[in-house]
Amino acid sequence: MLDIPKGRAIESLTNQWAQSRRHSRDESLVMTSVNDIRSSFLDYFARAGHEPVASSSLVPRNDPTLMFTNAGMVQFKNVFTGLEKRPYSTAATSQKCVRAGGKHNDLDNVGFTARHHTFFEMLGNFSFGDYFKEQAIEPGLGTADQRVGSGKRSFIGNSLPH
Amino acid sequence: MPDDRIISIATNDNFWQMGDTGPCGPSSEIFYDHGDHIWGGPPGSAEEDGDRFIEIWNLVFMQFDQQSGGVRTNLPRPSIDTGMGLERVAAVLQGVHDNYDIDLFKALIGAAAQFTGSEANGDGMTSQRVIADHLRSMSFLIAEGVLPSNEGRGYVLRRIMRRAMRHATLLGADEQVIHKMVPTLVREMGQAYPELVRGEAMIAETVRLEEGRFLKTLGRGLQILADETSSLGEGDTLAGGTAFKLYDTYGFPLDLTQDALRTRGIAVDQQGFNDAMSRQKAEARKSWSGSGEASTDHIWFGLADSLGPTEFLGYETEDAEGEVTALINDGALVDKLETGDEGFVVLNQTPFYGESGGQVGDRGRFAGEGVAADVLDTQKHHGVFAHKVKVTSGRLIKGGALALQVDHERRGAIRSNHSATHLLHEALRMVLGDHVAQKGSMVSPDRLRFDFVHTKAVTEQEMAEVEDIANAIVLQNTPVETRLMGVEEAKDSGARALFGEKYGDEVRVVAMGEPTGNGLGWSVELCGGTHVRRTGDIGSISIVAESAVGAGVRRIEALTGNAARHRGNTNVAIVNAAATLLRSTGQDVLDRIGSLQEQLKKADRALTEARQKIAMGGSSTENDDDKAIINGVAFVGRAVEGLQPKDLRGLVDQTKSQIGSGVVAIVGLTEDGKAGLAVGVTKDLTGKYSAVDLVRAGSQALGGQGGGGRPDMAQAGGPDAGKADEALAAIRALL
Repeated sequence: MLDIPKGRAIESLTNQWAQSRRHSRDESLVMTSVNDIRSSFLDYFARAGHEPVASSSLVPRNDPTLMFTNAGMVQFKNVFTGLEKRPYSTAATSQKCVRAGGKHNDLDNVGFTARHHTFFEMLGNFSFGDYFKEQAIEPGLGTADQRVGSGKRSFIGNSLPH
Repeated sequence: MPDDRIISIATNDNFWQMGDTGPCGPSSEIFYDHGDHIWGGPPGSAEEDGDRFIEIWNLVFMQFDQQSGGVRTNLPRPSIDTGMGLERVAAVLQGVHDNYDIDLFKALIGAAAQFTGSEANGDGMTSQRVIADHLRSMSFLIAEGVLPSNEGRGYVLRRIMRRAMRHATLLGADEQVIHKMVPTLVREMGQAYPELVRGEAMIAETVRLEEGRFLKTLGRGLQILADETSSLGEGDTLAGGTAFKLYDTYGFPLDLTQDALRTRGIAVDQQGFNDAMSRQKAEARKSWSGSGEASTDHIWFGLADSLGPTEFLGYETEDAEGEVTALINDGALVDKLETGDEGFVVLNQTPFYGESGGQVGDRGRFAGEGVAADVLDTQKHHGVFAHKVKVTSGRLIKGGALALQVDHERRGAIRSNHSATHLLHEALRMVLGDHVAQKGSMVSPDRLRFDFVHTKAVTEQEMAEVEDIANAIVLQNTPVETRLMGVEEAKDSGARALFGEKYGDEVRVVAMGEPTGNGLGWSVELCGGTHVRRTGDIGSISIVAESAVGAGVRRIEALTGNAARHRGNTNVAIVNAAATLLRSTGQDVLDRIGSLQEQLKKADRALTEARQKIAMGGSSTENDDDKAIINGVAFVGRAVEGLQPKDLRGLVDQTKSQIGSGVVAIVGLTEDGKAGLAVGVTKDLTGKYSAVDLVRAGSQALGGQGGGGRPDMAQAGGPDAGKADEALAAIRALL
């Protein structure tokens, strides 16, 4: 078991990813596959005390207004509002999402951009009243600037009061 | 991070919510810059739609709960929700600038290229990407039980599937190819999502069938599209009526038509499309109103028209949330139902099964903020599910959200009974012959009833055989599989359909048991009902009754699962109680009853003999107490208790022969207070006295009338056993 502070797990994780990427560049052999990224993400957060939770169904069971599950937080909607209690206060998921109807609809963009899908997977870590802003954002900045985006510029779009 | 890399954005762009209601909060979005060789600008710039700056991570500071009606409340505790698109992160980590270049998509695009006979990432790149993307969404949705249809989620799935199919034809495919790509997807993603592995065959088949349906009309539809747009150029608009004809007749979703025209810069008149759709609905309503249905049905037809069919979630789940779209009280639409009210609730979606196909409607509970209701029944009218409720507390309001909970135990029993009905149907056919056709069916939680064509009673042996066969399939414990098919395809595949029943274009086909040939299953039926997951869930099947319900139609009734077990237990308890009473054991109870019946017969005979002896006065002539000589004629008159009328005649004959010459009168007093009377006159005296006259006099005294016989022997009866002595005296008086 690694001793990783909960909110800092992402920093440590992306560090590992960045290393594996360098590794692959050096030797042109190993590529970080989608399956590797997904499992290392979940492993990392599990070691940082997050409960690895399975993806919920694409047809939401707990929301009458939503056509398809479109984000990782959908299955935790009632946990955030306090209606539902779970035996953990932090969680990590790789969530199946479909954005092809309703508020988020990417159907028409598919095939014409590099980044839109009707189906995609969303990696997410969650805190239900456990850690908040500082712990969550700091590794986020570090991650984007120094790890994943090393040598490139990253931007953060921010609506937080400064 | 330097400040110039941090951009402050207007709140409504950087405020995350998953839908119109629910938890939400401000967010920080982290973008990755793929480099200046790719077109695009940072968020907030005019070029932000480009692919250079890609959002890879969104951190949401969950602080509020957005409720309907614009109210926003604070969450009990501030929380964190993050989301990172796996495909976008993979692109960064794999050093590529396009999600569609990551390993997963390379494999899927490779399959799309291979099966359409096109070159990967060549001229057909866009189409290959659409296919690769859509293959994922369609496969995952089908794996979760969503099937292509013309409503709700099913229609979104159909649009996705048909869009992928059109792109396959753009790449040159002229047959069903997309289903062939399913194994590639399962290989790439099955380890992380085992539902793909479990559902692989079902997914591929559903895709293949939809491809078959669509390819039949696609060519003709594209031809019409080409003809109608031949004179149009960039900036022109296709008439809405034409788009509607493509939709209605050729199965082209509107967005497929739009997609097909997009590269040529031609738009579609959406308003015209919607108008054409409304006109068609109005026509349907007009033709319907002529059919003279009951007036309350107008409400349901109106709701079907304005709300569309209710989306049924109950094949996959028994718990869900729904939004109240209509309330009905006393045959009228209302805005609320108060505590104690009974009425009907319509929702946008429901896990409650509406009665149809012989399966009864679900019961259960609704609960919402400050409101609870019992669901007493669920019916289906023109596709609208009507939940009959009684509000137990609070107030149900139109527009409110409710947690919907089907009574699980009851539904479980219904599932078992419905699946057992299919198994019994097939087993009856095997044992009795192919003429066995369903004439009716009733599936409730308690039992199942199945009516079928057969001209004679089903023997006990045949019934045992049917039960054995059906239970053998239960023990196979194989998964029950549901497919959506065209009616003709379904019938071609051997699915049992109800003769004369009207089906829609597409039907659910339920297969269970290991197929004996190359069929889909041992039992294959067209059925919209709910079924067990595996045949073993039925537990066991027990046929409890067989009867006739009409000319050439027989009915069997059966129990499953716990009900079958409970009935068996009850029967064993009865046998054990009987055995205890009989001082026997279960196995010997029948022998014991046989020997007791024999003993009883013997005892009855002995008792009759004993009573006759008593009536005979101890069988000797020495007892002369009741014997008298009147006017020179010997007279014997007796009243005997417990003697049945049928026994009197024999006694009279015996007494006559004992006395040689004279008159004999015997009154038999039965246990219910009535009396029988027989009078005998010896041959030598019949010229002087008639037994018929004498018996009539006696009968009168007993409160009776008439009586009859011959001069030497006559019988009568009367209601008043207490007058036996008077009767004898009346006879005596005539001598």
